Amino acid sequence: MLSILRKARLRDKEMRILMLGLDNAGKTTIVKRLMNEDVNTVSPTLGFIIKTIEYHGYRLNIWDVGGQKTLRTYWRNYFEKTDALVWVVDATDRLRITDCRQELGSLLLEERLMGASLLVFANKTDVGGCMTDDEIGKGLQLDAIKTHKWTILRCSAIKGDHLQEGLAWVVQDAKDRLFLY
Amino acid sequence: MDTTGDEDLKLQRASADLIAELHRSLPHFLYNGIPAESGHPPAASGGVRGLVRGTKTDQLIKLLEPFQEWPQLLDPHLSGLLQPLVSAFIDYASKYAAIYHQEGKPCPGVIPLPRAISKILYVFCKIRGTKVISQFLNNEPRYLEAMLDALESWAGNTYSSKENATSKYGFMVWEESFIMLLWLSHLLLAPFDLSSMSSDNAGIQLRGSLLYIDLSATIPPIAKRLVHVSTHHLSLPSKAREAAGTLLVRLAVRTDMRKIGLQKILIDWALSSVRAESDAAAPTSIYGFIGILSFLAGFIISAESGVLKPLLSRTYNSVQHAKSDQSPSSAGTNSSASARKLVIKVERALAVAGMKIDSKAPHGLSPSLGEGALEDIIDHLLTALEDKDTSVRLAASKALSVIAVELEPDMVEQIIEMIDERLYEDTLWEDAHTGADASGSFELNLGTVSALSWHGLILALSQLIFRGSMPPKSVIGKVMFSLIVALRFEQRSSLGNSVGTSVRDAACFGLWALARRYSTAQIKSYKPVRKENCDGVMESKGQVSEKPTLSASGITTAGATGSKSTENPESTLQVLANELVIAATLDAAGNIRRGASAALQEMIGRHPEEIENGIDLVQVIDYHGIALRSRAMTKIAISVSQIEPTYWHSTLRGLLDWRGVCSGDVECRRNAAHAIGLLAHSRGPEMIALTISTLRRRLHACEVPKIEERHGLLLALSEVVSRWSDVDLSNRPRLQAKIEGEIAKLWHIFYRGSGPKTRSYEGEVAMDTKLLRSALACEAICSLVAALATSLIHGKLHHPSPTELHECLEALEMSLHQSDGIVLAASTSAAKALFRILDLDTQGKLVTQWAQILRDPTSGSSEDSVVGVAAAFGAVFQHVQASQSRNLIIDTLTSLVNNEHGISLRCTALRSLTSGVLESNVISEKSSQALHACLNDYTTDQRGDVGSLIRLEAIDATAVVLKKELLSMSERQDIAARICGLAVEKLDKVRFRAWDCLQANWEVFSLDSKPQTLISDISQTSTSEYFLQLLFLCSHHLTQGWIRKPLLEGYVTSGGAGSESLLGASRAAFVFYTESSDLATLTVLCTYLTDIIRENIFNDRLAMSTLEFVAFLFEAGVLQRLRDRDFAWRRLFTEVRKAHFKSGNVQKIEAAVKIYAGMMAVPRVRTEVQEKLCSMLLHPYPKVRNAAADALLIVTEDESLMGVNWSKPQAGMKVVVRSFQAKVGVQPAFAS
Repeated sequence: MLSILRKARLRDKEMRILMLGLDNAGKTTIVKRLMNEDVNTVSPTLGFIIKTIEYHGYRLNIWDVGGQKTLRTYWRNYFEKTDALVWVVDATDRLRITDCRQELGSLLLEERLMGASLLVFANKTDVGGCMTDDEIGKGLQLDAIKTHKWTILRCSAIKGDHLQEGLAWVVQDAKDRLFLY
Repeated sequence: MDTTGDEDLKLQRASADLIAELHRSLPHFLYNGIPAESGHPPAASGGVRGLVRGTKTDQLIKLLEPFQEWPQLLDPHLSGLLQPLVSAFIDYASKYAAIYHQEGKPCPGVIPLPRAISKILYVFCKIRGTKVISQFLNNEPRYLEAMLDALESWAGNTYSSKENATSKYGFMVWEESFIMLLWLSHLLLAPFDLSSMSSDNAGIQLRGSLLYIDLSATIPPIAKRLVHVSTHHLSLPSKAREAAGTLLVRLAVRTDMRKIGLQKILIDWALSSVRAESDAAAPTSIYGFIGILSFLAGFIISAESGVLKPLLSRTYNSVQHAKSDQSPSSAGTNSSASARKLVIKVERALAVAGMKIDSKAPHGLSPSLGEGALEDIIDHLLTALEDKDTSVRLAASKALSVIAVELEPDMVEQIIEMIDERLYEDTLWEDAHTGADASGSFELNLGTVSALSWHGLILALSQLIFRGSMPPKSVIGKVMFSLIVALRFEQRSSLGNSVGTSVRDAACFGLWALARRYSTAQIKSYKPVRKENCDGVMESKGQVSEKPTLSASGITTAGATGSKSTENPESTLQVLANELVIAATLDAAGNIRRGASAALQEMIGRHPEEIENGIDLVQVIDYHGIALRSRAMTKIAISVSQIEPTYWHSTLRGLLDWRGVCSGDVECRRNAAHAIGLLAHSRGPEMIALTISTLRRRLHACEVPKIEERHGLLLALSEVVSRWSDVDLSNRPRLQAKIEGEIAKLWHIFYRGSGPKTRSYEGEVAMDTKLLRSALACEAICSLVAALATSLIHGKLHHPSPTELHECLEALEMSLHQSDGIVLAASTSAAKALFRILDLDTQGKLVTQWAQILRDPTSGSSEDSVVGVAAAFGAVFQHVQASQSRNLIIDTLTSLVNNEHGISLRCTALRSLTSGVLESNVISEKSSQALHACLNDYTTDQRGDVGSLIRLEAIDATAVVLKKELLSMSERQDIAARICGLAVEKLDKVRFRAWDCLQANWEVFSLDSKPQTLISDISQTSTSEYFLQLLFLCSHHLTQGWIRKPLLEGYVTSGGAGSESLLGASRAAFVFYTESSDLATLTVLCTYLTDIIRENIFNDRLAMSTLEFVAFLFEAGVLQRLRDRDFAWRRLFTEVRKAHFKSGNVQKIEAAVKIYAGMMAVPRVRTEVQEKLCSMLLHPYPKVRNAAADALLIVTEDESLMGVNWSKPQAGMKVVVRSFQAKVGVQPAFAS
């Protein structure tokens, strides 16, 4: 009993966050910014990176997987017990928004991600002329998502804007679910 | 059972140090050229080490292990600690892999670095879980091949060089393969095609792989090698098998592997191995079988539904086949718990996957598992819940709950019905036979159920709640009912110890989960009852608190609290909370107490305002407070009961069941009784009456053979009554009368059951003589008698009727036959209390009667049986009024002490005399003489110096005499001098006690000063300072006259026959003392020594040690100082000679020879002594001849004594001796 309690207590405080998106969306930069690491030397992610962040007493294990086309088929390898999916969109990349929508759409069909909530990070909003939330929302057809609880946040990995809010939403969502059960 | 509760706190405090130490020592441990104290980052310094010390590794592991209990303390530091380990491992594997294995002479104590790192990493895995740790392993794909190379070659060495096993640093250990396989499986997460990472290196094939098929050439070499490595480890008994299974699963579910068909190959292979017919080519060991099962289970969990769909029914059939009897592997499956567990895991994965696929498929299609398969699986799981192995039960309960998540609610309901049915299969609802109150109690008899089954079944219910798969319907009431029953579950095994902790544990878990999963409204709307078995009794009353009272061991708890039926019905949450309160404060197992307190916390926290004074409750039932059972019972439980009446009632109920007075543990019953005593007086006087009547009713219902329960109940009653005299109720006379009435009824308890006369009394208990032979019953009854009589003395109770009193006395008399320490204490105090309420006549009669018994103690069955009487005899002395009786008591006890009785009887009699008579300021001449005799008692038997026991008692008695100044001054000084002797004797225990007595009564010496150093520890009485302090009493003009001789009598035993250290201390002190005092004193002391020799010629104990001591004094050159003084040398010589005259004690004679040797230096007696020694040259004992020759040689330096073998027969020596005698001028004489 005590060991189960202990485990449960640990598990309550621990979350697995999967960070996906097209290549060059800025996933690794977001992670590095959250870890207070240098964000000027980021190169395309070969493979994947796991980082652990302590946030308000929660341990967030962030799995940041490379977004290159060749790697996308392997995304499914990382779905196991994911609490939240962070989908990072390059807000300046109008050309590939359709590509982006299709990838996200197929992810949301995955049954292993059924329980996860979705946070869409519209990254690079510090750059002038980027897409607005509405544009992205329409481009990704977010309103059509009924299977997952989702939200969209504008952020800037380089400046660090709204990244903490993103984490706060993820954690709050997890808390809500814990008490809902 | 009891844990101190401080360990957690200690760990929390120490954790910072432990982690700092780890941080400090890790870099130095892993890398060359880092000074031990500096914490430089590894990059800034020399290379990684090749070899490390095994002991150092163990030290690091020891730093980690404490965190097993509190893994979260380690969390913030995981990254910092693991990073260096991981990078050092990588460094080694990529640079030094080749030097890992070296032939040569074994070098014990040194191990290769990877082995050390793996061991440490494994400890991390154990503490924090494999999944968490693997996240910190390096995942750069370029290390995949390097790691694989290393694993293959290192593991290869282990198997290739088995014949000439002379590896320098030993072979690979399982931790290494475990960590490396784990690492490989982590590396396999890389999102690249394996073919792009693979070189053409074919690697090294390991022998003993389970895989018997060839892999096609299209498969990249690295994948082949991974398959080989993992299948090789899959068949090993070590934990590496688990990691190998994970690795194989990872490999199989990879997209690229599926494309090239490896996935299919692996699955086909696994399935065919599982269902291998008896003629199959692959005879798999049980470990191989388990390994393949674990692969299958892992695969089904991880694979995608599209892949699984066609496989499900095939897998199911294979597993079913493996379970069935025809399969060769069935024997293994059925005998190995891990195999059974894995079968369950596979079935669980199959069922879940199947249901998920079916739920998407259109209706009407046949299920993908096959018809009826799901039902079969559930059925099997239900059976497995009652498995004999805990791990199987755990797996089954978990599997059931996981499957239930996917099931339709009515299916789950069916499962719960089945579990419920099985739970109560072997139980019986009995009409509670209390009959005392008509609450319609039923009693659930769980005596015949299996604790293991209950554990599995309850755990399944708890898991169902935990996963939220239990529909909040009417079944939940039933489940709550079962959980409550399980929380009280207890059985006695055939050996009498308590079993069922795991059942209660599961129940705690269930209640905890219940509080988390369900809303307040959901819980509140159901009542924890099980309808059909209660015959509607519950329903008609509509009271939850009126549910059948339950008890695991069939002991009723009904009517524990008589007022219950008048209370308002309590909410479901309150009922559950009450149960948890009992479990948290009273349960026998510390884990259950803590678990229950955690569940309670959850229940109060998640359902605010539902439980009365919940916050107070949580604060009182503190995680650390309840660690110690006695504390939880007597402190925490009492504080809880003061919060609300409902907790008071439930605490009393708990204290009355097996957790309290019915416990199998004596100490626990005493604690529980004590707690009941406190409890009764903690909530106002009304509760006193209630408690007493409840206890009486229980006692009335208590069956004759239940000695333990009766013991507990009686003790509880006596605890309640003994506090009664402190209660002041003079302003509420009616209540006081009521309680007095209740207590007065207790006198009836001592009636014997038989005889029509007593039948009319309600609440009387059958109490025949047979029962009184049990020590427990005696203890309990005596306590109660004492408590009752004391209340009477304080005017709080009416006198009992003569018959009642008579029965009390009879019970007392029976108890006095017990010599057990606890009974003795109880019966003595009962006797004391009873005598105060007896009239003169009865007192006199009893005293005469007891004196009769004691006069001839051996006439009874044994001396032990009168010990109690002896103890009681003294105790009653101060309450006996008639002088005749008083004298009788003194005389009887004195003669008991004097006579040749067993030592324990004499001790008891003496103690009784001390505490009863001497403490009452009475002493007779005879008893003072007896006391003297006891102080000198040196009786020995096969146990050794048993006289010391009497001496110790006598010292205590003397302390009383001295303190109360009972004797005249001179007599007291006389006895104190004797104590001084005891304070320097050879037994540590006696010395200490004697000194204690002196220290407390220092005035007896009429000295102005206090003793210089006060002594409080027994070890301090073995130092030379201690001895000196006493020796100085010998020089003080006030004390020297009467103290010297008795002191010396004791001193010689220390200085002549003590242990090595004692000899040293006492002798050193004596030499120092003589050197600092004048020769006159020394002369007097030596005269006393001579006297002691003379007086104890026939007492070897004293004579021997005195001779030894005197011999020492000569050797130390102390006595030689008296050479020319006026000292009776001749007398000493004569006494020594007499002492060993015709003695056969060689030691004694040798001591005497040593003395003679010393006396040769004294001119006045030299001639006689020399003559004596010469004659001893022809002594019949060779040893004595040798000693005499040595002594003579040293003094005369005559070389003719040398070169003679004195051990030869004495006849041949006569010539030598004669010539020597002639030379020194001694007349020939006969040896004495």
